[in-house]
Amino acid sequence: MLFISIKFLYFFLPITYLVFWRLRTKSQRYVWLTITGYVFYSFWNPKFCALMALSTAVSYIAGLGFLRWQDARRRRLCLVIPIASDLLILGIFKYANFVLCSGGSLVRILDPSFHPPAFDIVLPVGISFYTFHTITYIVDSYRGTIRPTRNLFEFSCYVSLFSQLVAGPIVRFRQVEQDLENIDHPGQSRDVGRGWSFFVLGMIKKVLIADNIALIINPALANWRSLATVDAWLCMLGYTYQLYFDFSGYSDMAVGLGAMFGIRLPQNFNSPYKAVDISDFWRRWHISLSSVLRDYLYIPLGGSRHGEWRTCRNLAITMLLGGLWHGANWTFVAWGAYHGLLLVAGRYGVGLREAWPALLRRSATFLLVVIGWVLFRSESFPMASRLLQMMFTWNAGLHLAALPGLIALLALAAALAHWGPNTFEMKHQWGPAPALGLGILLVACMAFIYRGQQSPFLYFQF
Amino acid sequence: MATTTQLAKSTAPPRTKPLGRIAPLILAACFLLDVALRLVPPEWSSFRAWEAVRKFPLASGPFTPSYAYRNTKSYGDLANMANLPGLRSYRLEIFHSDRRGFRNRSEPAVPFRGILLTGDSFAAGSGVSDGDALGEQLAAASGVPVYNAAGWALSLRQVSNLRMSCGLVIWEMSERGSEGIPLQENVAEDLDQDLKWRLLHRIADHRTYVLLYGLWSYSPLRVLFSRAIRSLQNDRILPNPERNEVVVARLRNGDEFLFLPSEVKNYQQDRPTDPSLLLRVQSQLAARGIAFLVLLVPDKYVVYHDLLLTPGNQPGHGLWTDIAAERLRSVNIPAVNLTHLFRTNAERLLASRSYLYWPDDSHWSAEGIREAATEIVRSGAAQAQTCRPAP
Repeated sequence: MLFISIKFLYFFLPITYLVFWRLRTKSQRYVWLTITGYVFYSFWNPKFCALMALSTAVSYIAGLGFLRWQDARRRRLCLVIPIASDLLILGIFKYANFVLCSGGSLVRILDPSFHPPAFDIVLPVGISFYTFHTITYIVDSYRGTIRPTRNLFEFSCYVSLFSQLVAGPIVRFRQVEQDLENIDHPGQSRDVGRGWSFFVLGMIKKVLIADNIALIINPALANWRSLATVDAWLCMLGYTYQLYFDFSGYSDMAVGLGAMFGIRLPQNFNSPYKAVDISDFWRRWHISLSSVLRDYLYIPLGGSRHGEWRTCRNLAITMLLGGLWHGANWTFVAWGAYHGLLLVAGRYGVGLREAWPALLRRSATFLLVVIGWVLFRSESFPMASRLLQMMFTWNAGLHLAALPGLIALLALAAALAHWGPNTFEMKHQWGPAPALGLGILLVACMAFIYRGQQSPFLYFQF
Repeated sequence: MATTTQLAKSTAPPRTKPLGRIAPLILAACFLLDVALRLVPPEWSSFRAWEAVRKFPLASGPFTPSYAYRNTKSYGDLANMANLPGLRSYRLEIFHSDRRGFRNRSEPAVPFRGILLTGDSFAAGSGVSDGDALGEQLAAASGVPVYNAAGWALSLRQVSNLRMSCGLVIWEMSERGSEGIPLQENVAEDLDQDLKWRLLHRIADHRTYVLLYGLWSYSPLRVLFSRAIRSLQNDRILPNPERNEVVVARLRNGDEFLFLPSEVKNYQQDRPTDPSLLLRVQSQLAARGIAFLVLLVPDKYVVYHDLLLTPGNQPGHGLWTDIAAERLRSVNIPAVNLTHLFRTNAERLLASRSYLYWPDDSHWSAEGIREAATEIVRSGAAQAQTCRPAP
């Protein structure tokens, strides 16, 4: 079930909301949010609820273990077993075929008649997100950053909270611990209006901007071999904004939904296309993932504490794995490597770069990001190389449909992304005219939702 | 004084609207509007009869019983599917159904002594008015009463309902509907096979089930919103994602014709034709003293392929209607194959821009139906099986 579906808007959300605010006790609200999380998830495939329940149970028991045992050996077991089980689940469902195919391709170099086996494995939606929720909970409990909860429903409510279940933001327990503890306080409803504002703005970003850009560029990118230079640039610029408005729109909706239930979810995007360099970009783009990678991978690897070479190595490893997290495809690994390389290169020549005007630095960073999205969007390396070739060599022609519409959408998206405030910078206090405008845009969103041509959120596939 | 007012204005808190009230209200209003519009007569939101008349098949037929539909700006299914307003051919469409839910302007005499017509949308008549549908044209051409029991499947229940003991049953079999001949006795079987509807069908009576299904499945608000969005999807403001739902080709006379992609793909491709079901039907009818005839209707693409400006050059097994007719005749099932007649006449009529199929529709036009009715009469089947006058 998508947030932008009739089922969700007319049935799931009102029922969840009305019942939630009718319930009075903490336990009742935990149980209700857990149930609704599983119902929400079961709309994709009810079978995979068991997988999420398993991951939840293992991590919850490990949390109890941390509360009970203080000796290092048992605590380590409580750390290793649930993380291993989470990574095993993730490995089987997300990476098994990738590993088999990649290994098989290597064997085929020696024996061309070899055909690697491939399993018919369906990737459970949101698995990359909820496994990261449980892993960060375990690691934080082990480190003593948080005190694990004894309340199973509080924990399962944290893992299966429908607003952030399938595409993030990756929420750490400590970020919502206080709100979960106070879930029965009357003051928890203070952010409901703000939540609706986030939700509506997110829907507008996704339905009116991202999906309409996708409608134009997706057919063109499906025929990537026939694109000319201008087509390739317009498509990649389109994808750059589509991805941002799609994912940040989803994140805004998630934050808004969280606020409707008194749970403040963290900011996931902070105007990333205003970044002045690549490390700045990663402080602004998918913040919940990049901070998890920083805190649970880069810093444990040694971070920047052991000299230049180790720092560069740690950056490269972090970005490679970050790329692989996005999907079981070598193009994602290449995208991660590309950003790792940019981050490493960015460590040099800082003084020179800072002498540049801010506009130039922003433009250069944006250009590098767009080039990176070529790898991210491409289904294969031939597609990526063809797109890059088209972008950087001149080939006359223009084949895109609805060009005036695309240019208008790109101009609007660029103005909002490069110069407009992001959702967290807004006050969410609307005067009559802006409120009317947002109301009209919401009706327009409903028209598109009724039409039924929305694409699923891009980050669902990860 | 003015200064004081201005000061008071400037220090007053800004008038803000909480979106927390407006947004849920808008969603609730959309929901209520959706529910309310479902209770509005469906002809208000349908572009042709077929959508409106199939909403509540409360009797044994596929259409809402005792229903009258009139639309002066009806247009073809293909122009609608592909969102090509420039290629619509607007026409008057009048559709009446009888109390059994079939397309007939009057109730038949029971026991019925004449021709029972069954089959799919070609026989029922899609995009044409009652007088131009096959039932009425065949009755006019043959002078024999015809009961149009067509609409969704091969249903023989009407033979019993009309207490037929002589006459002829014509099974119209369109080429594109040929993949698996449906034999269904209850229109509900044709509705959504989703689990919730199957469960409801078990526990509720037919009328409740059909009413609930009709109200649930057809949202006029969706139609209206879609029309608004589709008007923007004109390949200038937004791309038209449905353009490839049909094939647009130009005829030798310069006119543009729309075709179903499946018809283009299936051209000259053989498909399994198992006559065993039809043999069973034939023997059941013969036991009642009723004759049986199969009417084979070719795809629009088959008829117009050779008249295209650039016809596709597809090697194949030959025309499916020819193969099917041969298979049926080999087991003694009489069949009328319209393919060659249609091809010849389509070429003859090309210069006068008169067509056997609507340019914007996958179905035949009044002209094509007239040719079909004449051909059935010419085959002698209609007259040969006429009931003897009642004593």
